Amino acid sequence: MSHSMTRALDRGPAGGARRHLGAVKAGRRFCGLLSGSRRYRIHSVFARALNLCDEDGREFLTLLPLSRGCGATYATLALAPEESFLDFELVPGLEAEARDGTRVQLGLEVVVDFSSALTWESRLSTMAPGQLSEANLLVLRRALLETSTASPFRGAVDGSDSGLAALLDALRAAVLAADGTRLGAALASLVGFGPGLTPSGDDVVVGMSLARAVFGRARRAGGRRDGGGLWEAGVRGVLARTHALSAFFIEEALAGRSHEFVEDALGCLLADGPQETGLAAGRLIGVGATSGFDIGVGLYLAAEWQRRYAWCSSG
Amino acid sequence: MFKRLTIRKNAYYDSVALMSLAQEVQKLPGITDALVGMATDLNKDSARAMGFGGPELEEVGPGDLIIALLGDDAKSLDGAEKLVVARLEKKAGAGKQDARGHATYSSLAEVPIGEGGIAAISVPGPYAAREAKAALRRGLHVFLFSDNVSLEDELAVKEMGRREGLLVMGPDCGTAVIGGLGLGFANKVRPGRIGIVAASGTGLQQVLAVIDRLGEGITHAIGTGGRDLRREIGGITTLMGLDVLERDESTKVKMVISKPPHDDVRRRVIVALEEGRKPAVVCFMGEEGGLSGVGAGKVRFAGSLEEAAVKACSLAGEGGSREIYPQEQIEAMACELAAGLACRAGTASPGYLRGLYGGGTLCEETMAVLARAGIDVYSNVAWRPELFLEDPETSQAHTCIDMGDDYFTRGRPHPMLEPGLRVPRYLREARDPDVGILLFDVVLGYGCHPDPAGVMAEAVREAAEIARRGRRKLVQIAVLVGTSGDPQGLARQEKVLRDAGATVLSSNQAAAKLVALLLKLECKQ
Repeated sequence: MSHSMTRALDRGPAGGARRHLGAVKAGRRFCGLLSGSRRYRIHSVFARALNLCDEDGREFLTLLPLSRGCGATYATLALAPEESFLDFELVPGLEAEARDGTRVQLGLEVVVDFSSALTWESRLSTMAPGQLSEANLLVLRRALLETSTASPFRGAVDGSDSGLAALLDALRAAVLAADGTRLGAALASLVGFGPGLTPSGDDVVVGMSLARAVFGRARRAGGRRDGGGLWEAGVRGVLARTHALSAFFIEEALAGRSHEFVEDALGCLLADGPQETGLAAGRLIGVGATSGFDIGVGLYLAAEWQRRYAWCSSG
Repeated sequence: MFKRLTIRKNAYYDSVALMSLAQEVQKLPGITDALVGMATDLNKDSARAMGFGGPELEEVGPGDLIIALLGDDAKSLDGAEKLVVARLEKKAGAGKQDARGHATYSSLAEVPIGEGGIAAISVPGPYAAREAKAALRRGLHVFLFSDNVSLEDELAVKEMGRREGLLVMGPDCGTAVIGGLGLGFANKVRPGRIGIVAASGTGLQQVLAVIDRLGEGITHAIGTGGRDLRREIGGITTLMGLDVLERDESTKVKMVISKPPHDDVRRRVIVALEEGRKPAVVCFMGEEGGLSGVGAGKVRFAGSLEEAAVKACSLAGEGGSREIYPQEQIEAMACELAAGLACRAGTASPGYLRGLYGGGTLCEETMAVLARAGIDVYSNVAWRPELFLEDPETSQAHTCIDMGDDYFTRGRPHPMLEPGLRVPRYLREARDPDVGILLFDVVLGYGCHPDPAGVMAEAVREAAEIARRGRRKLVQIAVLVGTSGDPQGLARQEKVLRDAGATVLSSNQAAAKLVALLLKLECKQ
């Protein structure tokens, strides 16, 4: 062998190559993106989440790592734990371009391949809510109380923050009294309350709205128009107070849809035993810095009020 | 509206670079639309959609470049074309050096003739033979990573290489290690006394991993491409490679690894080894090892990749002749894993095996081990026609899939680059209530994904959760192929998989034996 043959080209580990990321699961709302019938752009990029927004700025789709759960407007990707969307030179405003009905190109460097993706199915879509289990409610309450979180609603749960506890009480009173004015005022204090793209107050409203949508199926089946209740009107009346992304999540919850971990926690609460409920509550509370906890608070309040007052069964 | 179509015949450019260039041109003032791309069917359709047509467009093929421009006036088109030409002809310049002082060239035409070296070529298959010949003309050995190269082109390039005394490693050559430097998917191995010629990328990587584990090292590992030992090619690169190893003073033991070769080619390879001065080990996938080589002279036959590596190390004076996983250890693992393994509905046997491999040779080795144990396995790369999966997307009974096969990699990266592309299929198999064992490989090395275990660990956790919800047990076995020097960190990768709940083995043969034992168990439920 000639000595010069050993002047081989050495290659680093996949550096600089275009990434071709496999979508593992995807919600049905990705159909519009994949078919090219709706145009999306990158809205926001985080280390472990990437949001796309349609041209109207009203509908969002989210890409997450597999371990972060799916949903109707979510897709999960097979990423390594240390991999970050921030490494892929993706910036807000870049178009998400559909290719061949199965792939989406993000910028020049990233292709997301949906060709083998499993379709995510909501367990709530076929669920008929029955009697609420007190044991399950207790498990959820205990999980919330045992959580150490920076959420301002932590104090409302254990009673140490009288201000927020009073706000939630005002909300309950307005709902029970079916008083649209007081409800609107309470919701106006809640929606937009807290920092970030999905403020804490919004997350509580997501939890409550989802639970109400699912518990209220019997009500709607009885003739009421979907989403036509006092709560729904009150929530929609204050959505302008928050970010478009958060408002979208609330709208989705009003329609009975949310992230997998949220739906799963509610589904377990309604249909499974305490052990499964505990596991699901743990997964939910682990979402984000405070979001999972706050949504859990919303689910708990809605379920507890339903058990006591059947608030979802009336308008 | 002004339009202009320019064709550059026989000019290959990287598709990402062209896409970037087209976007740059589209932003120029006065330009309403621009297409700069190879004349693939898709791009020709796009050009037609822009209003171009006629014989000029119809006659071009994927080896030609199309520049299609729409603009407000001729001046805008002139400016755009000038930019495209300038970008395409921009050269690094002969003699330019990178940060490490290595000369860099923007095309093979710039490489000085006669200075030697290796050209590593990774372009789409239709362009690969042309580039390989260009490299040979400049006196370069060729490492041809590209796949989808025709057999005729492979033969022509290899014959040209033989005439020039230059090696053609490939096409579809995944791995080579020449003088300690890795090409393609290559593991970090210490210098040693074993020289290897391999018609199998991941097979070679498995052997390198075992040699490393046993404390030995290699001189060179010369890849040949998977078809070199077919009758049509006649083992051109294998025989040239063995000649290189015979003359290399540092090489004390030679080894050949391949899928089943053609009988005539097999004979030529064995004769070449017997006529050499050095002891040799041969592993032809699917053949029995052990005693078949007794009395055969310099050549020892191995029935598995692990056995081949162990025998080579033994001949080189290192590592004894012990397998990495003795039979009793595999049996103990099987007993432990079998506890609670559910029976397939209505049967007394555990659930089906579903193996999802990125390494084709590893997949074939597993099928060979299971076949020896009397277990039929369906596959997209099955040797027996009755076990060939008509639809690679749908498993049946016991199934092992080579997900690095062309069917799965057309238009997508190989799973060793993007292991995540396997995950949907993995979870689909996990959801099948008749499945009891999931088997997969994780291959480390330069060129591979930086954290393949991290990606698959997520899938392992999800699969375990699926099984838990279904109130059944799922055994998940990972074959981890890598060396202690690999950039991903062998120990860390193993820990990641174990923490997720997978059983991790560093030998594919041992994993296959473990699966065979589990499948032979009789459930008590």
